[in-house]
Amino acid sequence: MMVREIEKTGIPVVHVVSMTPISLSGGVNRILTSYGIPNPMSDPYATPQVQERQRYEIMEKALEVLCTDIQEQTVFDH
Amino acid sequence: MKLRVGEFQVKDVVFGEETSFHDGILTVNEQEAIAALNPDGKLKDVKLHVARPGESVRILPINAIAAPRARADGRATFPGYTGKMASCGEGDLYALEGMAVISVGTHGGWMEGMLDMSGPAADLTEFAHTINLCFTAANVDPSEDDNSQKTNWDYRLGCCLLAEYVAKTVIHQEPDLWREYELTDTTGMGLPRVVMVLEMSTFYENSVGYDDVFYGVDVRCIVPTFVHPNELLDGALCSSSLVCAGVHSYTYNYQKSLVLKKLYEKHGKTLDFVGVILTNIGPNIDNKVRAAIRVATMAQMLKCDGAVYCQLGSGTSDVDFQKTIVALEERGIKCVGINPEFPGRDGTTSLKTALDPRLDAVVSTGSACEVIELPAMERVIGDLQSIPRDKWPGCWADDPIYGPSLRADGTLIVDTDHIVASTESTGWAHKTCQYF
Repeated sequence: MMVREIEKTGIPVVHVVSMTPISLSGGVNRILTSYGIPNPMSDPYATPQVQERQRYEIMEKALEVLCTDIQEQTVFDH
Repeated sequence: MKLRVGEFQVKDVVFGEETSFHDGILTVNEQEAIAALNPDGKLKDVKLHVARPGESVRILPINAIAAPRARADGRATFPGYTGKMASCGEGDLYALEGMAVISVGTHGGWMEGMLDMSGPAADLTEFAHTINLCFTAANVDPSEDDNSQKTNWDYRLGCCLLAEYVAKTVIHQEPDLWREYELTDTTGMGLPRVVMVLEMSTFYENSVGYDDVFYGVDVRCIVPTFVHPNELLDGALCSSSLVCAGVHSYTYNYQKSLVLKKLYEKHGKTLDFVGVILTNIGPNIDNKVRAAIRVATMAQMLKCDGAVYCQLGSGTSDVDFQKTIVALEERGIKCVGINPEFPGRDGTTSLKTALDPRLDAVVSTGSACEVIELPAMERVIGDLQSIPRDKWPGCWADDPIYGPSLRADGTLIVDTDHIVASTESTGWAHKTCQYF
């Protein structure tokens, strides 16, 4: 809901989310699959160094998705 | 695999010299019972209480509920959990009926709930209609109470241990009746094959001690598995510490699932009851998709024609619900879902977070968001001040519209999600539907 309200103002949004079916049902346009509900930006089983890299990479990927032209609701994998 | 359940109808529970059962009266020796439920001494200030239907009693914060059962052959009631690992689902089980065992903590959190034995909230839950042997206690280690998400491990285990302890007293007595549970041979009858799919709490993948307990093991990383219905009736699955009270399936609800019993009743008559698939509520999308694939594949291998899916809770589990039912339907297995609704206080919020046109047969156990006014009660088992003090579902310290949940005169205003098992989905919700 928050994503849709922000997009109404003309600002595109990437929803980084694990529960992609909820995003799709909610009408989100740019969806980026995350690692998990309690840990969206990295894998909690990975080492701290790997987690740091994962966070950086998923943020980079989110920025890339933000600039990607889409015609319909699209789910991107990290 | 044949299970015989010998049922003893309990008319009252009292305290006395010797733990015994005569003429429907269960007498409990308090010291022995407390020693049985707290073997490692991790709980302190343990006290026993009895709450009867119709009494002016409020019980909170409740963290576990179990049905008293015991076996004569020495096997633990809850194998791998209250005793040694053993098989379950066959042989004789001795059961005290008409009563429940309830554990009550000191702090409300994510999974705590409340129970009124009379008044409007009593209509909402089965446990206002059972005689309840309750224990109140505090954790010796106060760090156990720090978070809103707690394992409640010693309360949950204590509840099962107390349920086993009191039921042991009827072993070798002749019950009021024996009920037999056996999946009899239906070969050649041509009946539709139906499986029950039961969501377990498997959400807390990163830590042990929060999720459901299956044969003594925390199911947090489980992949869906197939069990005999007798195993559920016989203590194989115990409840978690993660699900809001209103939608919570307690150990009692698993042990006596009415959906399971109804499928049994129809077995060999109108359907062929295949068994129960225990499935997940995953913390990430891979877990949910994997569970849906595994459930659908197992159901297909079992040559099922239909499935009844009991959802635990709402929100994230809506995705498991949607994914699994769609996977079943895609393989030609017709599926009925049973679940609670969270339509918001004004009733306008989307009922499910994830939708699909193939979710076309869903039974509602009711709204968990109804705001209800409750009168003050003469006796409180537990701590009424946990309502304004702690963060737990269905109640609040203050609210711009409703004011505080707990008022100075002891009256309450809460969500129905505050009331234990009021919208749970294994058959215990006290609701009916009506068209207007």
